[in-house]
Amino acid sequence: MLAIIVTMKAICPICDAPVTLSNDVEPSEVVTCKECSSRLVVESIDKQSVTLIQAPDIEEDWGE
Amino acid sequence: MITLALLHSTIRGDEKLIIRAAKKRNIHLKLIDIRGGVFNPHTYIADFDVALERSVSTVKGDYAIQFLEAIGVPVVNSSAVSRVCEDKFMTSLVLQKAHVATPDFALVFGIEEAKQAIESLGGYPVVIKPPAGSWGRLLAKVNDVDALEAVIEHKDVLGSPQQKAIYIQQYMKKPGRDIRAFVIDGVTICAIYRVAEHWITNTARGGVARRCSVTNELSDICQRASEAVGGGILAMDIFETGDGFMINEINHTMEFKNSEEPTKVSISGAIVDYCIKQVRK
Repeated sequence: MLAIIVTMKAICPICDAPVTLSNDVEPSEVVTCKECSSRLVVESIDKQSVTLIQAPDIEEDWGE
Repeated sequence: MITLALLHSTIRGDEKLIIRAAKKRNIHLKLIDIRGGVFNPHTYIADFDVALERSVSTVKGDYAIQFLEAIGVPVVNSSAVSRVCEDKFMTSLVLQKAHVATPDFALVFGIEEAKQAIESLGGYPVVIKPPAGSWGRLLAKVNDVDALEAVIEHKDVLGSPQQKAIYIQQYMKKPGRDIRAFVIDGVTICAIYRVAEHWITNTARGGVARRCSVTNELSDICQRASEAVGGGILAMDIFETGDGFMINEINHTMEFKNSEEPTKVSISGAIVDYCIKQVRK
């Protein structure tokens, strides 16, 4: 049986490469651009359009 | 239907696993990015039954927990557990008081006191850590007094006020690995070895996760450590020594996405189940 995988598309704000995201992507989700390896964050999701921004730098109180 | 609020400041792979686990259990999950919160007790509407705190920022997470507890919402983990686990000095004090094996330690504020403390810990090497820190950042293995003076001078000149509290821990020689045990409600549900040639074995620093069997000895120390810090959902970093296991650190908002595959245990599922249990108590 053929599996149907639904994906969403976005553009890397750093290198303009297309970024493919799974259909269960969430706002504030961290993703990595496969083209330039930048850490990105999902800023907003509007139907099939996802806006990505550069992830903030790691802060001193971040962790587990 | 129970509504579980997932408090976050970013969605990592770990939170994605929790979201999927909640969907499988038909639990209504409300994602709350606490960075956008207005925590005013007169206006805040808590339309959920229990909250799971998963903020990557300790400071923001702490305030969110304290606020929700103050308005009567149960939070996992509680503020009492977070307060102990987010600070290595507090964790060590609590473990030692409960007679749970842990490396010897001291906290000082200056170079002369650090020298005295190291002598009382049995000499070099020692490990200096920020009391509140994670992912293996800013750990220093200090082999001699020259290195000690350099590390402390750097902290004095460049560090934030928090960095000027100097937590010193006895250095424990590891067999190329340590153990991370996942402990929920006092029960060790699974464990991994974190294998690395470097003395820092955090997976965030390149340590590789391999399955570790949960023995009675491991379960026992984890159960006692969990009880000492107040229970909840915990990840314990454990040294294997000639005298048995020793608890190194305990994490209260653990990352686990690399551990489900080697252990074949749904840690995310166990987290959601524990949260549901808090509502039905």
